[in-house]
Amino acid sequence: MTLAAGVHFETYDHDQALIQTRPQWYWLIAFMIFLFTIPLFGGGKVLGFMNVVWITVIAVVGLQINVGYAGQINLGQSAFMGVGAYAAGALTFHFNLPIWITISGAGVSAALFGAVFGVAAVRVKGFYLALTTIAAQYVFSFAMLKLPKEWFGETEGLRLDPVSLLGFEFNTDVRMYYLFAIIGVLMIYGAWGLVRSRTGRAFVATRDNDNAADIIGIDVFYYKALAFFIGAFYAGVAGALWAYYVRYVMADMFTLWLSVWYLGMLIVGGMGSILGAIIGTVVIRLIQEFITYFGPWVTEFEIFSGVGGGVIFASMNMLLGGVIILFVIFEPRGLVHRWNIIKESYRIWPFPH
Amino acid sequence: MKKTLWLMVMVVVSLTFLVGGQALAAGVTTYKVPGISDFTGGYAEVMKAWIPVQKAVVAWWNDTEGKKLGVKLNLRLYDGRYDPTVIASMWPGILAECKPVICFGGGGSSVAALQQRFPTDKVPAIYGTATYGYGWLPNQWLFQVRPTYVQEFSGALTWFIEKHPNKRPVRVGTIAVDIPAGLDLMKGLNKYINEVLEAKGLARIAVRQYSALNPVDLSTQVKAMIDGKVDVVFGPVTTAMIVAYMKACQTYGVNIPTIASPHHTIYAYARAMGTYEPFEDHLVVAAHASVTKKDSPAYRWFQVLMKDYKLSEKFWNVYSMMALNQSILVVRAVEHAAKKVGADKVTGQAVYDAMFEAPFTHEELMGTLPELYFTKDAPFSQKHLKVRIETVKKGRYVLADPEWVSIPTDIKKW
Repeated sequence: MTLAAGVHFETYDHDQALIQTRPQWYWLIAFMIFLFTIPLFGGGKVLGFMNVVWITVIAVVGLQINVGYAGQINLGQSAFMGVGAYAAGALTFHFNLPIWITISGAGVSAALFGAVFGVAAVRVKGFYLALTTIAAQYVFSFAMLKLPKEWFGETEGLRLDPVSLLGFEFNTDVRMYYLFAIIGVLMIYGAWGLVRSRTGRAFVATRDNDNAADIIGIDVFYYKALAFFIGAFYAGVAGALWAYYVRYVMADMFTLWLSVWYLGMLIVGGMGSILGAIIGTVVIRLIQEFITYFGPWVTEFEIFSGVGGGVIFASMNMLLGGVIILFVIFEPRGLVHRWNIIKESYRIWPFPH
Repeated sequence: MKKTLWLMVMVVVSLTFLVGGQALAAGVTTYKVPGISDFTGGYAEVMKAWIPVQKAVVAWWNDTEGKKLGVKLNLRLYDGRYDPTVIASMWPGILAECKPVICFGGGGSSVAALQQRFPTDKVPAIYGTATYGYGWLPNQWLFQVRPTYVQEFSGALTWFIEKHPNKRPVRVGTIAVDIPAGLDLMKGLNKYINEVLEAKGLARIAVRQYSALNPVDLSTQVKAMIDGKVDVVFGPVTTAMIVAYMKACQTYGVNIPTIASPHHTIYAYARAMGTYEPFEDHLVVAAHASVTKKDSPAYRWFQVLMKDYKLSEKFWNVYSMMALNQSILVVRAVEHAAKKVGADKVTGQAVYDAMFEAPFTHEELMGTLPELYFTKDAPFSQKHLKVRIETVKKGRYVLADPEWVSIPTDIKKW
């Protein structure tokens, strides 16, 4: 990373710090203030959007660790999220445990489920691993519909009351926003720390060449399973938050389609970057939001009546898919790459990048 | 000077319109009514048949009963993409934007995303389809115009048994789909047939099969039905399923009738293939008026919508009928509430209370639905449940029975 002229480090700690310069601290603090004041000026529409963005960001950041850093293709993130949602729902519904236990429990449950597929990753790669993780989707759905009704509600699913922490009930969108924002920030901070740690470097080595990684002493078996464990842990936490937000958990909420979207978010944002996962999530959700509002508008004014409704409906979905294809072709490193170019150009200005 | 004079005239005219307009509007209270629709998701093609009907019914009501009461409903449609994530995300915005007193529900995805929120947000929601066993819960803020699919199907099955005394006990075949809705449907049917009809010697489950939601081939399942000498089959719930089922029947040279909802089989297949012919003696059933009958109060009302609200004749179809039912209950619910609390005092709570205070009569519902009596025990009317049964005779889609058929009252929640 290029640093602005005059910025140099005198200690290793300073060099390794996540936030390295004073302006970075200012920007971070300003951004955090902005995030935590959104409910004050955002309104219902923004809050609803942001709440789902927070949940999705956590799941996609987990997927980034798994896919972007450790290089293990995963099409079961939605199923892992579902396991977390059911675990949190069941722990709340049956035992009425406090949310810090239920959310952690959801993460661990999903992580254990994910690790099972991580073990498969030791033996198979690429296309075969993708198929193995798709199986997670079906195993999850089948299990939730067949396990005893007393556990997970079978075809009825689980209905939850608003959760509370120390007597504070999360029963409004604003309260939910703060819960999601706090957990989201912690999870993202944890992810940033992880990928810069020894474990993160082992993930990257495994991703780049697992044979070479093995030769230099990295326990590839362990790190592949760990990548799934951690990725699924994030999905489990996201699932728990989803369960508390919607207050209803049903197996068909967590589809393969959702997992595909999460991968799409990674592609658009940029593989191998936590920031990329965040940017990809926000951008795809914004596009979905745009389509959500554009669809009724088109019908309302019948501006494309000559084209025919079916074409418009189809074109909306093609737009979403097209965005992903365009990124794969023209910017495979994702939006985060563009962001990095902008940042570096700013730092070395007036010299050209 | 001339310019100043012209400007003054303009100001006076504008003020006159403004003040006059306000005076005219003073007696009318407008409520925004959100509709969770699907413009770009998996059910966009189906919802295209719903939207014009919803708009026409709201406009008709505004011009008739709404005008008398001093209430105007402003329908705002939102694209939920039939995706619980999108719907959960957009709902807080809808609340802020519309402050809704009632809402047009948008299928299973919006039930999943919002059913727990409706009571806390105090927004009653009306749904136009039948429901499932897991939706049969007390104290709900969502209301279904129809009972469960199992109740409707049981109505058709008991009618089938009555019409075929030589076939008793009727041998029933089921093809279950491995999704929550599909499993729930079969669970309810199995319970009713095994515990009630089999005990009476009227019917029994002879063959149980499973299928994917959108199968390519159902020949194994159909062969099992043939071997099991099945009289009637429950199962096809998607166009792909019924196409595969009919193809398999043609392969084996048999025609084992099915019982399903109107939008599941005959209409969906005919829409794709352009013919009703293969469905001779198959049955479809729903607790609403039949589109096959044009000398009905429902169709007479539809003609008013066609004439005065530019609703196309093509919307007199199976899909649009569901929207017609939903829309008429939405406007009548607001009407009941406005009559009770006053036009300017309608709230979600007032509409919710009004749902239970008086029945919605067949006439009020413009003949599209039987009389509805809501109680807090279930999200659908449980009294005097009736269905219309349709079939295909000589290649024509017609009523199987000229009268509404009663649903058995001995169906217990499963």
